[in-house]
Amino acid sequence: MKNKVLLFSFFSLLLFFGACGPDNEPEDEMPVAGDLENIEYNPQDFNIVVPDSFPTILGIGAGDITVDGVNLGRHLFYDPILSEDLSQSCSSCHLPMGSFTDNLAVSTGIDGIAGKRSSMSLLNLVYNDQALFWDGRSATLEEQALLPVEDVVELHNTWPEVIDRLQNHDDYPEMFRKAYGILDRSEITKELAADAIAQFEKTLVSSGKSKYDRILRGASFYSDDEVAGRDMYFDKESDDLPDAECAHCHGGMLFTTDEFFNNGLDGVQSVLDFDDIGLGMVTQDTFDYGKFRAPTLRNIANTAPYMHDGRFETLEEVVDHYFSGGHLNPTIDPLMNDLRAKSGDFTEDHKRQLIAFLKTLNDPAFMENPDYQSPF
Amino acid sequence: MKYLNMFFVAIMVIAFYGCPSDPIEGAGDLELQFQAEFDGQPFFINEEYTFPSGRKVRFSQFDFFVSNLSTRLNGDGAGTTDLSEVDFVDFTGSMLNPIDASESQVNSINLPIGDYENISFMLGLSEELNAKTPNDSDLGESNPLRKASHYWTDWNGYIFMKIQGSADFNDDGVIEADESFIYHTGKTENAQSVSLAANFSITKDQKTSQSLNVDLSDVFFSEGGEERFDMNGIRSVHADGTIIAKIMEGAAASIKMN
Ligand code: HEC
Ligand code: HEC
Repeated sequence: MKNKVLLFSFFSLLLFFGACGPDNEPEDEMPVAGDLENIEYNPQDFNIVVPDSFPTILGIGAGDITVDGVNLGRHLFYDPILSEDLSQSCSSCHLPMGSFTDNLAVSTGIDGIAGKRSSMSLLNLVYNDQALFWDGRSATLEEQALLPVEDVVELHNTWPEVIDRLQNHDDYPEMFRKAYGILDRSEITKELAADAIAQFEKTLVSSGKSKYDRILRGASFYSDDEVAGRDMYFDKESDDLPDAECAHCHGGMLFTTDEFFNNGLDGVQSVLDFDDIGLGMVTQDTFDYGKFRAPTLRNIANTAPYMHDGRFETLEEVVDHYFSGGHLNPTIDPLMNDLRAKSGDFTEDHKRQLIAFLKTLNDPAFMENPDYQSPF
Repeated sequence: MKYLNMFFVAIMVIAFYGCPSDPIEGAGDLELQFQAEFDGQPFFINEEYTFPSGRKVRFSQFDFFVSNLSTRLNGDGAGTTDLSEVDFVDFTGSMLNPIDASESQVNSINLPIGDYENISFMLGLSEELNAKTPNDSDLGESNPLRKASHYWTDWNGYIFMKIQGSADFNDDGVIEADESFIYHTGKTENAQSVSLAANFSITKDQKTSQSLNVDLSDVFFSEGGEERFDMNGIRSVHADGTIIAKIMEGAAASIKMN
């Protein structure tokens, strides 16, 4: 702590002349070679704590996620320095209180231009190692984090500009040094910035304190509605309730297996008629047109509106959609046909019960976790 | 030969006890693979085929678990060698990494030299393996039992086999969007023991290829051309025990040594 104060003073002094403007104003001063060498570099592994019932996290080795890396990533995530006009950060569209969505149908970037997709929850992405976004077009968080900065409907900036701002910033060079051991501020790159953001994102995991998780541990009980909802969700055999088939596509402890399906949102005759072809854009396979990733349903009551284009305002509308079997189209999933065939079996009570179960997945402790909030 | 490779899909042999640390004296490699067919022809996902009944069909997903694979040397008293504990045989791949023949890798298992007379395994999972869950911390990184997509919570066990697709159920010559089927099987009592006569030899420091063919037409139609159950009437199953048993029996019967 003492060290930090010292270093902070050191930098304030160093940048004294240029540092009079607003905090994020870029500096014009030339970096001094080797100017970070004297700052201590002592990386400590960051231990991501996951609930007991969760799978072990794979693919993270010693040194991959560090306390200083996460701290840097958290700053970058919340800092509008990434956007062209200093007005938006990642957190503008991924807010903790919306389970890291923006609770808008489609997101709007710095130029006020609306994108065509709805923001996504960033919950438990540390488990996703192959297919990010609604259409799976990005494979890793490190790769993904590079994209919003230059996306015209998002931060609409350029990486050279961002790197220039970071290299000449009061605090970031020190933070990059501590996270990555760089010797000189000129070694700050977009790859390091993206890596740090990804490190922070990987810490965003369920708290284990949702009612669902507490019940698993024997620390709470389902209400009658919730238990009926659970039994429909998981297609419990030998009960009088109709199978809602949800667990086929939103299954597992994470309530997603990151697979792609067509859940019958649009009734079209030909695959060429889909407004948004989703996965088809990535694979270029017509059998994948109109398929999207089935996202996690953990914390789902906090991420309205729903679907890739935010078309449903409420969970009631979502469940109505599934209970009706959706709209026929060439790549519709067999399960949606199955649901349509038995749509007459579902009642308003079933809807209420299923939603009651979905709400046991609410995780306020995740959204309120102080480590996930803005550091500014 | 190159063409043949196109439809060989390798069984992912994570030979838990098939890879001895010291090379066995006088050993060679067995390359084992599963190959999917439809009525004796090479099988591809999303390709249209015709059942013996004349009905058109297309499959969008086909995969299954096999467990406790072993092979036996010829001759009295010759022991069996375990090949692998559990493998996931995947003819679909993931959406972003579809199984593409050119990518399919064949894993080889080092075996003592000799003539082999049998390969046996369980189609599906043994009771012990089926008691695991994808979240079990003792599962290695590449263990297929980590697949949450193939765990069915209500069974407290795995989905042994997924077969999904569409068929021209109203027999009007066109497969329509609402004519789909989805069959998921599981439960330990439905796992099938498969034991096949083999006739391959392992020679010193040589590779021997052996493939097991599984035929999707035979999964649903008996040798006499009889539909094993009314697919049109039962287009989805993950609960009905008798249909699950029929699918697993059909699948076991369809596997032949090539
Ligand atoms: C203008 C709003 C906006 C901003 C700013 C924004 N995002 Fe997003 N984010 C979205 C939208 C919309 C999607 C879904 C896009 C799609 O699937 O095509 C998304 C998707 C994602 C995903 C994929 C999640 C998943 O489950 O696959 C990640 C990760 C992500 N954003 C991280 C970031 C980071 C990091 C930043 C800052 C560098 C950022 N976002 C800035 C709107 C935004
Ligand atoms: C055939 C697979 C499938 C089944 C069955 C299924 N879903 Fe979905 N679900 C999806 C897909 C795919 C999406 C994303 C679709 C899109 O946005 O285009 C989705 C999206 C959702 C969303 C919106 C998620 C978000 O972040 O906006 C909710 C809520 C949802 N499903 C709930 C359910 C419930 C409840 C059930 C059971 C009644 C169910 N799903 C059954 C595949 C499925």
